[in-house]
Amino acid sequence: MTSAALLAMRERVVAAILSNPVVGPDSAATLARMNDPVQDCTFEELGFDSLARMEFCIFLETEFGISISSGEVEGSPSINAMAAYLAGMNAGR
Amino acid sequence: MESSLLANFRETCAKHGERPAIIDARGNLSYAEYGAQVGRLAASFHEQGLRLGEAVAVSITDERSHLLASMALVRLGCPQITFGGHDQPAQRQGLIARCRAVAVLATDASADDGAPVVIPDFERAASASACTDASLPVPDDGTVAALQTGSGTTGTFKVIPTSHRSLMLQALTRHMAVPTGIEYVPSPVEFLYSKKHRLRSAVTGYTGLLHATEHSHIPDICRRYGVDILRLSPAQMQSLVDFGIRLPEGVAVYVGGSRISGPLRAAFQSRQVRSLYVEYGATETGNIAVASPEMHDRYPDGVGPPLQGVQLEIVDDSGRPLPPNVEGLIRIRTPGMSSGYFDDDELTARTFPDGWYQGGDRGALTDDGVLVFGGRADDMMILNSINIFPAEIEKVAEGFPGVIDCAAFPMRSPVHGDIPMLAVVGAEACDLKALMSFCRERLGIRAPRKVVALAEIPRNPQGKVVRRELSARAADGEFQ
Repeated sequence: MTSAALLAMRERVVAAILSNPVVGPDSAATLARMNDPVQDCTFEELGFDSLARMEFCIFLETEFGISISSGEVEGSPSINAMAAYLAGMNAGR
Repeated sequence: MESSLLANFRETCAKHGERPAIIDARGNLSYAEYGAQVGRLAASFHEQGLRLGEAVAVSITDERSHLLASMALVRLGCPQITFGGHDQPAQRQGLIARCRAVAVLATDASADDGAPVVIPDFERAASASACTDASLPVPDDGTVAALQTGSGTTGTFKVIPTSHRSLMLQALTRHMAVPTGIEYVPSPVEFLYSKKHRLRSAVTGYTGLLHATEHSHIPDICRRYGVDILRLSPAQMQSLVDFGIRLPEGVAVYVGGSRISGPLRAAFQSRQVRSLYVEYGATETGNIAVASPEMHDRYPDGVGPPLQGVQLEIVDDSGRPLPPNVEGLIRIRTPGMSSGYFDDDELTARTFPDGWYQGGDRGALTDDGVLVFGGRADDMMILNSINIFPAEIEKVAEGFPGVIDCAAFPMRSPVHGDIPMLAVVGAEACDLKALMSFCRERLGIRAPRKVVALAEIPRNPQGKVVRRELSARAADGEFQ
């Protein structure tokens, strides 16, 4: 997996969080951290609950055709972990 | 005469006083204490002005508090409406006005839902010196216990009044793998599915474990508390299959609320536990049928034979019964079914013909009496067991500036079921992003998840929207 593929996936994860109708970053500092690939941010600190996870999955599916369950979001509980998981899924196809 | 629901609750509290009614992070609450607290809370609600027959909304997220308040309303005979934490203010205010609710039970006074807030005094109810409910009027079997809401075909919520008698009979009709034990519903109490099972369990003597949690922790919690019965949503079931953290042997798992595919059942039975029960039911009727663990191999789409006391027929469009193995409309009579909808005679007449409930599901009965679910007769979408009709989305979207024509349709997802989408023919100035927010504010979780602009909505020669075509285009990735 190239780092470009990973970065592209990270952008998708961030887009999915920013579009989430239930939760989002609570400060400019968190937002900056979300957008900085060198840093990371957990879903827990973004306030994700079960509904937020469902909405996150739905966005990935409607925007990018990526199908995952809420359980898989729990299994990769931060932006970078999620991006790596999804990029791995893509590479394995 | 006292309602059978209350009589059963009182009898359970008296007979099994030592048994835990509720287990949660605070510890155990015995049936004796549960009954006493419910009585004292009902008395304090009465002091706060609530009276038999008056509708009251419940907006309490703490699970134990919610259940105590809820049972106290049952005791008082106040029909209750349940608000979810994610419900939008406009939805809440609409329901309050429509059901003429006199109060909202909440734990803080800031709620602005269009009715006065009543804050329950749980501390006082927990103290044995508080006054009791002995002198309060007693609801009877016909008293409405709950005003349950559902998605409606015409674009407005349907409100289903469920009487004390219905709730009791629904509790007795459902299938339970063990006669007593710990039942765990991981979804929060504010979810209709979760709440109705908790109320049913309270009147039949089960112990309710309250522990809303991440999907990944469910197996661990089952092990820690020795859960006997676990009720999952289809999404939770899928997550447990993905995770591979095994549930302990001996847990009986019930799942329902939308179609559970054969492959998902097989994966769950091989990677999780074999004792998987797939249920079929409706808010209007309570549980209807259940497929037991040994049936899934033979009937991957089967939802089992009808439960005891349930009458079930497959009929054609004119109501004539059809022979076995022929698919048609499912109609049902259950002991605890509701008799109709609140303030909607037309929908009641259509959905409850001749004393049957005919909600628009299709299916067939096999030679040996197993119901095989065949889908919907109409355009209803099911997103993670939430029923959504295109009409309710379209009705909202049509009120947005610049929308000329629109159609809601499902994008089929292998994981979530039907993801609602909206196709719009709009004037140039129509702001699609603002339309999304507009819908979300009014529809909450029933809102479309994506709005796409089209030059025209595909319709057949009779002018009916061809949703299949829109779904197919979504499946091809055209709207990504």
